[in-house]
Amino acid sequence: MVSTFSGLSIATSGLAAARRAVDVAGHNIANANTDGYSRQRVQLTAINGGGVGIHSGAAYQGGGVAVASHERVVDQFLVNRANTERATLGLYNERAETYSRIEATFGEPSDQGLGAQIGELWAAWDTVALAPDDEASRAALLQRAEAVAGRFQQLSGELDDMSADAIQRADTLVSEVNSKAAQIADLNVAILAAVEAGAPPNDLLDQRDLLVRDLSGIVGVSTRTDDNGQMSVTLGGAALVTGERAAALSLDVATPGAAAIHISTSSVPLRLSGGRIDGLLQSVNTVIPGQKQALDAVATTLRDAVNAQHALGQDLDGNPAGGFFAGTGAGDLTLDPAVAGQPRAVAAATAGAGALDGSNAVAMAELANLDTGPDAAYRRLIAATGVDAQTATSRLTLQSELTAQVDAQRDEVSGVSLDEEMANLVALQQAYEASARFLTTVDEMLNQLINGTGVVGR
Amino acid sequence: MTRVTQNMLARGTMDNLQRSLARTARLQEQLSTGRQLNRPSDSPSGLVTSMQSRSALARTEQHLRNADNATGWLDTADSALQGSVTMLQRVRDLTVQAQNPTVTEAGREALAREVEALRDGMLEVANTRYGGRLLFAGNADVPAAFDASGAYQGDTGAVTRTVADGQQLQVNVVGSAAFGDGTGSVFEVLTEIAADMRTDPSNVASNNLGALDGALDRVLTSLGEVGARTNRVENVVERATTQEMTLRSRISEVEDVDLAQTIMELQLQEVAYQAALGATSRVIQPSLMDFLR
Repeated sequence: MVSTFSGLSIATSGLAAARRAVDVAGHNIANANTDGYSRQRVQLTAINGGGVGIHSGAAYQGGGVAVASHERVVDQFLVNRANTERATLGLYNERAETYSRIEATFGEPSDQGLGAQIGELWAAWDTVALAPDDEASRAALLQRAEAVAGRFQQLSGELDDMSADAIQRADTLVSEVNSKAAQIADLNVAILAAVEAGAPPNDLLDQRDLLVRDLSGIVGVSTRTDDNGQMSVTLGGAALVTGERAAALSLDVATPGAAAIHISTSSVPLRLSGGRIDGLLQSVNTVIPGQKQALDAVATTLRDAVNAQHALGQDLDGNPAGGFFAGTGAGDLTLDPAVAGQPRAVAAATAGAGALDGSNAVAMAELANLDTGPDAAYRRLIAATGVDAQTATSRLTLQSELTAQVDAQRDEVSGVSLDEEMANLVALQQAYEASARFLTTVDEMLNQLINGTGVVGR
Repeated sequence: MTRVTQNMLARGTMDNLQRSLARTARLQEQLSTGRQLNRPSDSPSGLVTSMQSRSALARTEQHLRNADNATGWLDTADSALQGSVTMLQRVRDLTVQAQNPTVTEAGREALAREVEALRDGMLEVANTRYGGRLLFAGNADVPAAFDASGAYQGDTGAVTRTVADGQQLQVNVVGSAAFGDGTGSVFEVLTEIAADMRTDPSNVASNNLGALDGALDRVLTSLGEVGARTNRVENVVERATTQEMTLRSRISEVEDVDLAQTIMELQLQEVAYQAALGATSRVIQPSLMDFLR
């Protein structure tokens, strides 16, 4: 036998469910523009009526509605994918940034770049050849050569600065990672508490996902969530966050060209996969040293070619020539002390020729056309940089589009649609009104039973 | 069914606006700098062409300066040698004249004086300078190519100018080749003629005309060489000037913007940007709320 008053509880459950659902819709609308928010919804379920006893027979009756769950709508696959794409985007971002700075440093093609300056050096040799006894044109030649050496030093220094800059930025990002890892560990604790209390930790989960998303852009991580909702974050095979514990990353730049990230006190460098830190370390370890090496090669090519030709000559006073350029690479290329500040020591004449001979200077100027000479080496360096920079930029463009696409896919699932919420509100409001009307009906029936029954003849 | 949310629309239009603005900024950079090649990555292959052409242009300009200098040397040598030819021909006339028995002794003395004056003139010519440098002394740093006695002081070194890639042109004439040195030198021949005019006038022609013609031949040969080299320099200058223009236009082709095309692209881009802005204004669309009471 079903209880006489069961209608009241059915009506109450309907009212409560509708109100709860309206609240959720309101929460969704309120958070429509919150970064990282996933829309939530309540899952309703019919309550199986009680009192299905031996004597109830066919008189089964439902017990109303209950909120089965209050969940957020998330496609974990898309979330993970967005994180992976963000890591790649961060890597490409830094790489493109590095190449664009390198390009700006070289400043080619222009009339002021190193290429033009080397060209002016050859022209200065030719000018000396026109009047070998003119000390003014010899002094001008030395100035040009000093300018070329100075430019090499400046370029090398700027590459060093760029490397130091990247290390500093990587260091800042490492602190950011550590702070985010600690926040994730804190959220793990809060989420565990909520789960144990039986409350859905929806908004905490969103906050944690947002942290992981930002973290992925900085350094590529992978995550795993256990049955209690505890997220562990791993980075290159090492655990960054496990439950309530967060490890700390540190940047190790002790070995030049092998800057690495260590976790906690481990001495093994982590293998990074994506993220801005990965991009910065690649710049510091590979890209910038590669550029410096290539620049050094151009500098030594220039030094060797000029010195070899210079050694074949004699100076204005008939003495055999010394070196012209000195130094071990781009960073310390200078004029050789044998000629620095001594225009007469420039060997314009071929050894053994007359005092006014300029044939060595003529031969020197011809070095400009040497296929294995400094001009060709420098052109190759700039062309290779251009190709690399172009590749980096086009990869970045593609990756930005891909990331935007994955974000849109995530939004498609988890984003709040105001129209949808409004339609839900209308339906829920009507459900609430109908439940209220049902309550009135039951009330009137009971009233009839209690107050209007058994009063015949009263 | 694809869900579309208001945020997706907003973000999509923002992305498109950004992209459109970035393209506009790029076109405006090209227009304001007048260059389409602003950094190596704009076109790595164009960059190689540009850098090669730039250094080739610098070389060609230097070659033209060298050729200018070479022309100066050769022109000065040419007029010096032309002067010597005129003088030597005058000496030849005087020699023939001196042999004539009707010429008086005073007349022969006058002729001998003139020949001696011409010898001094020849010496002056042989010591011609260009830009402060002795034309006929090779590479030697000496006060004169020929001293007062007519002895050669210079060396046989070549003064060369690079007039094209790998092409060195000798611009000097070695003094000893043009004027001779020691026995048989033009100065000695002239001294001999003047002496013979005074002491042995009847044989002055037969004694000296052979040597004089030999000296004249040497000068003429040198003159011919100078002429040939001048010709070559002229050819080279013509070629280099053409090449200079070709290189300039090649650099411009690679580096400079095509104004008409870029302006048109910019205008298209502006239209696209305006359309994107229009679309953005429609993001705030009426929603269901506007239709609920």
